[in-house]
Amino acid sequence: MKILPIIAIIGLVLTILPPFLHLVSSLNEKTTFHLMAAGMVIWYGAAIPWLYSKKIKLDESTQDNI
Amino acid sequence: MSEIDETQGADQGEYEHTRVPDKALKGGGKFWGMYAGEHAAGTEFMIGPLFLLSGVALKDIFLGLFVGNLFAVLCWRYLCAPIAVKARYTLYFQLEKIAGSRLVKFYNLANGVLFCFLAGAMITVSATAVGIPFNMEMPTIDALYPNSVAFVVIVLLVGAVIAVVAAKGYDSVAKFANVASPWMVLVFLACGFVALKQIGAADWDGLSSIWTNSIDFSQALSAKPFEKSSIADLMELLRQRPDLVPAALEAFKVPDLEALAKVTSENFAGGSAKSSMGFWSVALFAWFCNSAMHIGMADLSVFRFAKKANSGWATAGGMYVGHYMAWIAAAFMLAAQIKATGDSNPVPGPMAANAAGLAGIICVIVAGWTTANPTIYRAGLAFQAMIPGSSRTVMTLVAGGLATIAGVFPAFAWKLLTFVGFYGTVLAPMGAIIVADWYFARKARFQQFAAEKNGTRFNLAVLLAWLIPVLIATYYIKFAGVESWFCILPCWIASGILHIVFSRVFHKATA
Repeated sequence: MKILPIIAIIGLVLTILPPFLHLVSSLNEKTTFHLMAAGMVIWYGAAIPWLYSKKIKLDESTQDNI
Repeated sequence: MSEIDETQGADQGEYEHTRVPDKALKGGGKFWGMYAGEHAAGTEFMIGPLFLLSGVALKDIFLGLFVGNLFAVLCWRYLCAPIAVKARYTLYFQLEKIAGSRLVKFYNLANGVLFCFLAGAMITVSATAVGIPFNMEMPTIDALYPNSVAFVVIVLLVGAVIAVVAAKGYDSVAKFANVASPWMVLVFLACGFVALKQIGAADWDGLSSIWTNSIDFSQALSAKPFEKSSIADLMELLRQRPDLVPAALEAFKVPDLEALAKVTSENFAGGSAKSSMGFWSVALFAWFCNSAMHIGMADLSVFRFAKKANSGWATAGGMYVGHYMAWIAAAFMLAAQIKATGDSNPVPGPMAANAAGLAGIICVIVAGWTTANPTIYRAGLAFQAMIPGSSRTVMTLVAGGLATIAGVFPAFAWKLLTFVGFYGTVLAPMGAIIVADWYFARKARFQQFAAEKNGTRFNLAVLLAWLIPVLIATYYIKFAGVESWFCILPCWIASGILHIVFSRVFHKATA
């Protein structure tokens, strides 16, 4: 379980780093999109078991929707 | 005897009917994370592009959003949070003390109905992404009604799934939203990066020029007699209506139809962009789009857990992530789409697919879903409160059904700016009543928490103070064409003053 946060963070890095490199360098768009999709799978794969195991008290009375 | 029993609810763990005790207070850090995640929602995909289509100049977006969001943060910090950390009640409990339980239910019902339409817009947003693999014909910006059977079927399916999940309970969806929010924030930023690259501007002047061309181009397409949102749609119209060809060639300053088919925002000679939103419109919209939460005091329920009012600053995380970065990124996505395809239709699914591929499509679905779901859940609670003995599950399904029907009509999504302004116009004035009751009861010599002290369930003074400004504003919005976000502050001030006046008449303090 301790490795899950590290894997999840790798997923987030793969989500944001390729688009940034695409903007400032020559990383092409197709590769960027593939890396982002991989980042998404890694993030959800690791973050769901990691964060679901935490007990988070939720306030039902209000939440912004805009 | 008072209708309100302060001892109930404490054992429920949420302190809904009692002050939050010191042991349950939270530090400021908790609020930063919560607000930053909460404001990367499905609505952001719509609002940014709608600014572009309203002809807002690029500098007005950057400066207007900066100023408006700053004012919003100041309202949370200096109006909402101070009362919350002193009273430590939920909005509903504090309002119940002032207005009475029956009037609170009425307010809650208004909240629930508005929530249904907001959720409907989010179902539309999600459906535009779900429909991509099925080659669904996307609704256009001028469409009031659904444009295809496929769109209706997908909206009904998406709405049904969202309603059933909401009816099953809140926790699982809210937990999933917590998981999704950091990723969604980064996808918005990523979309902005990719869109900037697609726009291809070398500097601010270049970006501003392309932005203005995008506005000109989209306005030329949507102008009468064409009223279209893409060159492809315009060409189709001209095939059916050859009499419009001369007007089209004149509007786009091209010699023939072959040249017209190749026009994009980049090679468009330009028109004279008309803006229906300037700096102050953008600033006021940004300031008041969450007015129900800050000056409307809904976030009393959040900040009652804060140790200090300083936690109000945490809202800056939400404003400058969700209502600054995400709105600007979404607007860039539309500018990039117009430049690449000549399509000014602000449909979130295709825009996100163009800027982030599969991750973008999933982000639109998740953002729409995680926004619509809790909204339907709370609308269901509001409806349940109106009908004693009714089942929460049934009422949530009713709310989901209403939202799904609203989602079938894309106009609710396209008119999101006006709707959000109207939402604030209706709900925010109740916050003025709370502020007036809190700060001016003693000075103006009327009873604070009048409903609680008099044991009444319905405080007429509050109803009049709330509804008179709201009805006048509704008239101006509907019949005089006043933009809804201009009405929120006048309504709020008027409600506060009227509460003082009517309370002095109906609930004068006894010495």
